Amino acid sequence: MRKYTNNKFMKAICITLMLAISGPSAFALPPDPDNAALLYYQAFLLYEQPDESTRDLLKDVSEGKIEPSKKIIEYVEGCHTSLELAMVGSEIPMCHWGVRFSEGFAANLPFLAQARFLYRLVVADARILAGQGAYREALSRCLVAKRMGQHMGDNVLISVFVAISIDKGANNCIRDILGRMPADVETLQWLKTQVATVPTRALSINHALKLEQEVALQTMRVENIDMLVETLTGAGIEVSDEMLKAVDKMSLEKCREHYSNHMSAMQNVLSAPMTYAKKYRELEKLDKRAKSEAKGNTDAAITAFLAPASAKAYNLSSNAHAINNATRTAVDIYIIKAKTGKLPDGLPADSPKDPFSGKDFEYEVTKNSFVLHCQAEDLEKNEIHQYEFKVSK
Amino acid sequence: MRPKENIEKFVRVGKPRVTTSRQMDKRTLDDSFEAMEQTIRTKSADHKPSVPRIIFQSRMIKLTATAAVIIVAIGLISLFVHQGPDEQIGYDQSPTKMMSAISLTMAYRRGGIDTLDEQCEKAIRMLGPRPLHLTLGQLLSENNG
Repeated sequence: MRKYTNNKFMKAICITLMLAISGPSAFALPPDPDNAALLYYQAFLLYEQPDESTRDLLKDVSEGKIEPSKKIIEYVEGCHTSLELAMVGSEIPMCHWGVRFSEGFAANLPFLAQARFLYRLVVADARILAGQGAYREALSRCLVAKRMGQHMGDNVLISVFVAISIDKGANNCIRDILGRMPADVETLQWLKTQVATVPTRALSINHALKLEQEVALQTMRVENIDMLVETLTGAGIEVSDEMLKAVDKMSLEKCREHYSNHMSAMQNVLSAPMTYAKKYRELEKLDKRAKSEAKGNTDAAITAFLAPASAKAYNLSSNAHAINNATRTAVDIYIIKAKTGKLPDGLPADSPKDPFSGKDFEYEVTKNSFVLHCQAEDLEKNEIHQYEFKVSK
Repeated sequence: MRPKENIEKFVRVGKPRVTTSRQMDKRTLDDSFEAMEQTIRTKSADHKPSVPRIIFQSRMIKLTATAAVIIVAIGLISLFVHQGPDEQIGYDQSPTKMMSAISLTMAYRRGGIDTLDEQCEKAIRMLGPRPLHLTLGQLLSENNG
């Protein structure tokens, strides 16, 4: 009798446990997306389409050219759903945009266009918040923009360029906010950590070149001639039937070989341990050679057309690196100022370097600001960059 | 100088400067073939062709055809080289085409991030407006009348 009762008791416990375990899982909600792109795509769909003048005003506000007007503040407030999605999306490490690389250079990258607008919205919001004295939230928006920039990825060169441009805009906004916010050690320490923890894998031009090379080589095949035509027409070149008849397997093979050698040489220079100046000059030589060869060598024609201007791309990336390092150095200087009440006499130890010279930035204190000077020339623009950071009294 | 050498010299000397349009290529081909046919018709009406003349004519046809193909090929290459990324291209494409990797890349090469923005904004405008809010609740209420 006792045994029977025990069995019944055990069964009841087992059933209760099973129900307890299976109950919640049966009604569990699907997880939120683990791909940031899915949230960004939703953000792109849910902002209010601005009219021409609002779009222009938003651009100017995001670039800090004008103060936010009532119209812009209301517009940005109306886009809060998109802003929220951007904020959540930027926190997710993985971001796959779903680009169909099998389509070659004809693959669509609509996210680049939309991301440019969303970035403006985020940075305009940052400037509005800073204007209202909510500096930490404002800086937080700038970090959202920086992470968004990283999410553009480095699969193709154009996405790296967009990423660099977004990052530059976010850094400019951080610089403006730092220049007007009152000394606040806690917020500055937080910013220092945040800037340091924005995904550190720098978007690589070399990675983009590798993938572009693969795409181009696939395109330069007789069996993919339609794709090549699509690429050329996408670039605004009219390709006639007569022209197509003149292209055969042999001629394309020679073009492939030339292009491949050129791109490999470019990648070798980019990955070699060289100073900025040496690397820039080497890449410039390669770019010039590709152009001059195309004039007398038909095998080089497609190379001249599809290969990017590598020296220019490298320069752009060096510029982005310099602005980032200057911002990080400046945050350290603002922290010292907030703690001691005055600007330091020299740069803090282990400050990030100026990538143009490989040395520390030159530090200069002026009446209402401090300036970080690069110590070598930007060889494309023939100028020495300097970054001024205002200091509030 | 023999005709073959003439053609070779023409191709060698003129190669980098030749820029032909689609219409020009077609006209060159048509003119060449018409001229050949006319020559053959005229000559054959007056004279009975001798064996060396037949051989010469056949060589001429081959040479002219080869030259035409070379000119077309050079036209293609010249287009690649001369109608490069630096040229201004109109926005007569569809918004989807304007969003392709190559089209965006060319926009960037033409005028940097500003030109890219311009193209992107144009494409977005053409794609049309989107809803301001679209929640699950709204969709349900619309479906339920």
